[in-house]
Amino acid sequence: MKKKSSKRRSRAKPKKKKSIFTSRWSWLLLLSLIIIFSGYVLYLDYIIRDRFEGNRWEIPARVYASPLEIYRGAPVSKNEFLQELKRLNYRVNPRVHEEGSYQAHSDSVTVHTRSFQFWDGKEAAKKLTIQFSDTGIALIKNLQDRSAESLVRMDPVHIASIYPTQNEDRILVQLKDTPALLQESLIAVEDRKFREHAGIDYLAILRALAANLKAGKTVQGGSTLTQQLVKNYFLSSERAISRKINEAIMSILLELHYSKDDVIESYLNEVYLGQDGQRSINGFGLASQFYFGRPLKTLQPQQVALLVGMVKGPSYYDPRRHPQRAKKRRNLVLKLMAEDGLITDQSFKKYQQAPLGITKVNETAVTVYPAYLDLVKRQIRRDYKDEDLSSAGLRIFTTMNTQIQQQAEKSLSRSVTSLEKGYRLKDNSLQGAVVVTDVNNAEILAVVGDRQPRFTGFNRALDANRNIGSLVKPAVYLTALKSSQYHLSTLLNDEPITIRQKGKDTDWTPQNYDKIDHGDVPLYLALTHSYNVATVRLGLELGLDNVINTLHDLGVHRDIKPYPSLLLGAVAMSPLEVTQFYQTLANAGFYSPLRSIREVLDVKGQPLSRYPLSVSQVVNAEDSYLTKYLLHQVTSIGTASTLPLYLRQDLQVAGKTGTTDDLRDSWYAGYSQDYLSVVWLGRDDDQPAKLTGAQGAMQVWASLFNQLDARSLDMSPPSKIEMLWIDPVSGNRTDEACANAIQLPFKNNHQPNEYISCEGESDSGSDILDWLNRVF
Amino acid sequence: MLKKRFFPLLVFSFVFLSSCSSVPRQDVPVEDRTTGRIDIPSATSSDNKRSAPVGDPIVIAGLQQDAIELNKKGESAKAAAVLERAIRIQPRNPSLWHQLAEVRYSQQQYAQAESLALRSNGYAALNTEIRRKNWLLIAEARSKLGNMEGARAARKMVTE
Repeated sequence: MKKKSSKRRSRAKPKKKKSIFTSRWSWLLLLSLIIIFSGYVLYLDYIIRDRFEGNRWEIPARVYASPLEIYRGAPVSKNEFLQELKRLNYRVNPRVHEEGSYQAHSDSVTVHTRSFQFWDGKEAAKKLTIQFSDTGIALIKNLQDRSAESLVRMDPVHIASIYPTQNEDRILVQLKDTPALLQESLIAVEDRKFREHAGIDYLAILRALAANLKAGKTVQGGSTLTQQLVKNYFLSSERAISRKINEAIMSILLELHYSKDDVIESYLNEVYLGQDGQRSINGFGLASQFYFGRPLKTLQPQQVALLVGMVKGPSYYDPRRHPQRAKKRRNLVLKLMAEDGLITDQSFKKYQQAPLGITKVNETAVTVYPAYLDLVKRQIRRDYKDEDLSSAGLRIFTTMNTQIQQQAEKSLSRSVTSLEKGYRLKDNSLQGAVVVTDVNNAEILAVVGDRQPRFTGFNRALDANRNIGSLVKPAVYLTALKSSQYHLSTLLNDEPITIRQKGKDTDWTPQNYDKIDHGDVPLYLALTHSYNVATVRLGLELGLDNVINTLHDLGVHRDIKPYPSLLLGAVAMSPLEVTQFYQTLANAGFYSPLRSIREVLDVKGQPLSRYPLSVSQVVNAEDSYLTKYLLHQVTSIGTASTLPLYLRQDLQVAGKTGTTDDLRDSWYAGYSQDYLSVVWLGRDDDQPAKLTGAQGAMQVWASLFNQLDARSLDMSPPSKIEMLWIDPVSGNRTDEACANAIQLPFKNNHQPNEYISCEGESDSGSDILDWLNRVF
Repeated sequence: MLKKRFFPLLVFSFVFLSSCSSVPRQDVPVEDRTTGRIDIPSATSSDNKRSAPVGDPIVIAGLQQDAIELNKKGESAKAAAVLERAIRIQPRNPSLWHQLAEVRYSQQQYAQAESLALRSNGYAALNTEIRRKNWLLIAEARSKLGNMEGARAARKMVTE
């Protein structure tokens, strides 16, 4: 015994040494492995939570047009209203019991409007009957409470989306807004134990493994919804073991942090359900719109079944390309629903028979109005980074009027075609641009950048910088009027003039269009007939800097060099820039920056930026009126005097024609009471268009204004303006009785002093008659 | 003798007839576009092709009320947005522009308050009540901006 113990003791010592050694190192190893593993798990934890919580869904920015307002007296015809409903994808339905449906009658339309949350108020869904008359809307009756509605705002047309780099698109839905049937059937089909497991369904994995081994290939998936969600986040279809392990760990972590409701809601918004050209359809919200043209919560059970069935393979079960396969899959899902008691057997039989109900693909993916959208993007890029623009789900509310946009596009494309024919110009050689604004608030209603409006190339409205020619003249004459040294009958000298130009070899001798020297002409005639020489003389007397200041005051921001040729419009501007400066003239001398965006909201509907209406008076009421008077005269006695032949009878408008050297560019800027439009026609290769302003651009303008609800200008003068009778030859005051006397407006504090009796009545015979006239 | 009496009669009747038959010169139709007669449409004309009337007040009454309530609650930016909407519907309604000017004043945007009130006057024509209110507001805004002379000038306009 003693021997044994000594032996044991002697043997135990070395053993002890070994086990301490191994156990310490293996302990350390184990500890470090645990630390590394924990670190890795923490890292995965950070990744999955960051992905789950952060605004990681790349949702494109949605761009909306201005919503249509309907009210008693609104100048909207039944046809125009129906066109708007089509743009809004409203469906015909005689009973109109769903939001987004309507029925047309002979002179009325019954409609169930969609509710929409505008930033400044929620517009509830309403069932209405709208009665139309010759002039527009006569009455709006609310069918639910039988009252008359005074004002209803339609939901805005979604005109475009600005896509993120990965081109995903979705309509976010909240769990409470989804049909319960959707969740339950999804669980039944994809992950039965969803509510019970903790992220991974081990039994399902084993079952799948067994089935796959048996079949020799993958026939079953054991992934839970959670795992699918995780896999979707990282968009990789790698089947590596490492990937699977990561997925598994992250699924467990996800479920540790978030509730089942959170997970399934994310899933419903994340899952890939199809492809539309470049953009991918993610989430049930968008899939519902994309396949059925209706919101998710309005889907019928068989439609829900189809979408649930497509989760397994959206391309394989694409109902548009493989309808029979899709139907079979749908009916399988319906069967599962019936087996689980989610639908009754009776319903099952009914739904099985139902057609797929898929709509035609909509144009929403394609930008229908590229020129307008281009403007919006530029205006918004000043304030937002590109990534936010395309991934943060911004909602951009623009000032675009879809009706007027289409009218402008039509006017341009039709006019250029008929002009080419009429003037024997080369086919497709003419190009053009149109900008339309609301005179009263400077909102940009329409932008056309190409005679073919769907083209996304060069945007002439914003980027075609062309000499503006005679369009500059109103700025020269306004400068004169502002100085109070000139009034409308001040005589100007139209005699030829030659100007020595600094730093140039040749002198400049401006010519009138008709090459005639008109001698002394009253100011109003010099502008209305667009005399070049008189304008140059006037501009030089006023000083080029003063003219440039006027242009800047009116809203032209670019740098303008003080060359005399500026007075005849040898200064390049885009149609949009020209629109800004005519906007100030049209708006009675109030400068307001042109706007295409009203507000930008974030994905939750909170405002990020607002672009409010702001005004600033840069020209006083009297000088504004005199300028308006002149521009009105241009259309009655001046270079646009043929315009009334093309316009609706009695429509009083104002405007200016613009023609550049060699008839290179054809311009027209004109306005009615509420609308302003600038039109440019020319050739991309800079060759002469061979059309004057009146021959070319003015025709496009007239075609547009005949379609608009254009009202006559209010020509009533402000209080400090007086109408006086003038002799046009001398510019002096004269009698109303004189044959050639005309009436012109004058500022109270600046009127012609001299008086002249009637012309051509110097012989005695007429004097006697005159005397006798006065006697009798 | 007959000739002697007859001749003055002839002259007399000639003159008499010519004075009766002469047409006052301004009624001679002159096919000349330079006569420049201004036909000023009445402010209340409802002819679709003439300048449009301001619009049915009922349509924007609700919006005006909403704006008042929003401004009271301190949501002046929303009040302004509602008024801008009303202005899109009735762009020449001076009371809307005046109300927007008041909202800007309450937001201490005095330059805008002044400009919007001036714009309102541009649409106000014969509406003396609105003009008075506008000039009062313009005077207040100018005072706040330190433009005392301008404020005095505006106050003068209130009584004109």
